[in-house]
Amino acid sequence: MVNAVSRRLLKELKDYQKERNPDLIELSPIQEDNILVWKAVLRGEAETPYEGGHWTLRIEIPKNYPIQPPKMKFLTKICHPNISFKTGEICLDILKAAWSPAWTLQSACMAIRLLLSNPEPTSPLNCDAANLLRCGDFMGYESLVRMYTQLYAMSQTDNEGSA
Amino acid sequence: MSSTPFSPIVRIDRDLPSVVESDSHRLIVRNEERSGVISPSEIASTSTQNSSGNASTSTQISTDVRSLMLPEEIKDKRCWICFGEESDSVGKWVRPCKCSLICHEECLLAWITENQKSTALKKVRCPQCRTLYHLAERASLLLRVFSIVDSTIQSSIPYFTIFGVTFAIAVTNIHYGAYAVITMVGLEEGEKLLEGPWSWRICFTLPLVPILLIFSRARIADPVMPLIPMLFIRYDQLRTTMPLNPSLTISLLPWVRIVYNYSYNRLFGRLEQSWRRQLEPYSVTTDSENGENGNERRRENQDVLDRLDRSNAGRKIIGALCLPFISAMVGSFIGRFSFIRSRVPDTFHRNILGGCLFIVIKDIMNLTYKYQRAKHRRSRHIKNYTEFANEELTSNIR
Repeated sequence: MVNAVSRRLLKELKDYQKERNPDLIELSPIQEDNILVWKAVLRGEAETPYEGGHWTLRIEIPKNYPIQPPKMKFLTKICHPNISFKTGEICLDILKAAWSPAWTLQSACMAIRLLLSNPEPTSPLNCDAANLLRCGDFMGYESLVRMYTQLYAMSQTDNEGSA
Repeated sequence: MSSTPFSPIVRIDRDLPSVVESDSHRLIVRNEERSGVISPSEIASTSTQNSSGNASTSTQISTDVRSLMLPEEIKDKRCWICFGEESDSVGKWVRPCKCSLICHEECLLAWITENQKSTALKKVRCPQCRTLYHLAERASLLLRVFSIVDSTIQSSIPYFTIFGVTFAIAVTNIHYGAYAVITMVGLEEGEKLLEGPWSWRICFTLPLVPILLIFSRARIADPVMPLIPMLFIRYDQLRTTMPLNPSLTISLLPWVRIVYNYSYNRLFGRLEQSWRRQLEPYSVTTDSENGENGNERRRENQDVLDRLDRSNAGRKIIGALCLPFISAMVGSFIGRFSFIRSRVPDTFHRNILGGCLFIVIKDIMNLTYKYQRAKHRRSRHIKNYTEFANEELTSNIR
């Protein structure tokens, strides 16, 4: 079974490397000898409060992947109604009940990137962000998200470049 | 969701793990060219600008022709589950739906098994085209029945939990009620009352005992309290005999309670209020002349008083539940005096009398306590340093 898992993961890696995805800056195993722990770096979508930010995700792959979904969480702090600010846990159905083997690590990362611009404030992991949305305070929500993007998701060089 | 200003371009459909909706985006344009449903595996390539779509262009030719092909006839096979290709994997190839997804039989069976973990015989569909997978399998009638029973039990657990909790509360209440009745009327009488098959009256009233006792301590129950005994009393027993028979006594108690509370408030309400106000950090009485300010402060103080009342809820509930046993204790105590014994011969009435006596004594003590505290507060003043410094000095010299 482990063989089948690593075969699929290697192919996913090859697919990603063959055709670089500008929105997914990095997607690779963290260590050479362990293919079950990956790291991904997402780029925030333009014209959203996440613009300009880079977020690192940690991906843990179960032994019976792709029958079971990978565990993904944000390592970089992010302010989003469906992502825990403290632990980086993500509330997204495709990573839980709606998972199917047709998803890949890359497509799941892209789904998370879409989640960023499509928050679902009715099932929040970050109540403060969700409440702003539920009250209709989009200005407040956007500036809050932008602030945290600048605080945590922009590297030192990026900050200097913008300033 | 779409009302957010940073308008969502693509949304994730809740059921289908595929991107479907899009307003003004190349996603949909590319889809139409290809006349296929985008699978999750293609989200990545479609949302990027420079995707050549090398794998998909080959299928672009005609999905219709492909849909009738057997797995053996398709070239460049790749299992959508394990990503194994013909060259690097072994196993039987199957093509269970009309879309482009083909896979190993073993892989698909593993996926179906994972899906059916919670409920056996659950229907599984292709994640891309939603075609129901057809399995040639031998599911015996017994298995089907078990599967249905299993899923029914699974879904009915919450209801059973609610039922169980309610039942447990009801049983507790009935036990409390029975115990309270036995305490009030005495062991022999009580056993006689609660013996044998219970009538609907007993079934309804016993669990109500603790609830009514608790509500009797709250103002909100005032309008309904006297009506409740009327629902359960047997009218043929309502004869005015001396001494009053138990049914009549019980139905009179709420009225007695209302009259007592009313006259208590009439007599001591204002007095009690003023004493309580004096116990507040800022005494309202001294400030009340200052117009606006005084009013505000009074309102604040009223809030504090209300909060105090609410924080006493636990004390009130426990007090209410203890009432029958305290009444019985006082009842048996006053039963020792022969002149009460001769006038109130039976235990029940003595206990009721004991309860009433207890409440009156308790209220008197409460009032006295409040009065003493208010007096104590009024007598207070802060000593200047010189006053006690001298005292200390003299005591040290000694």
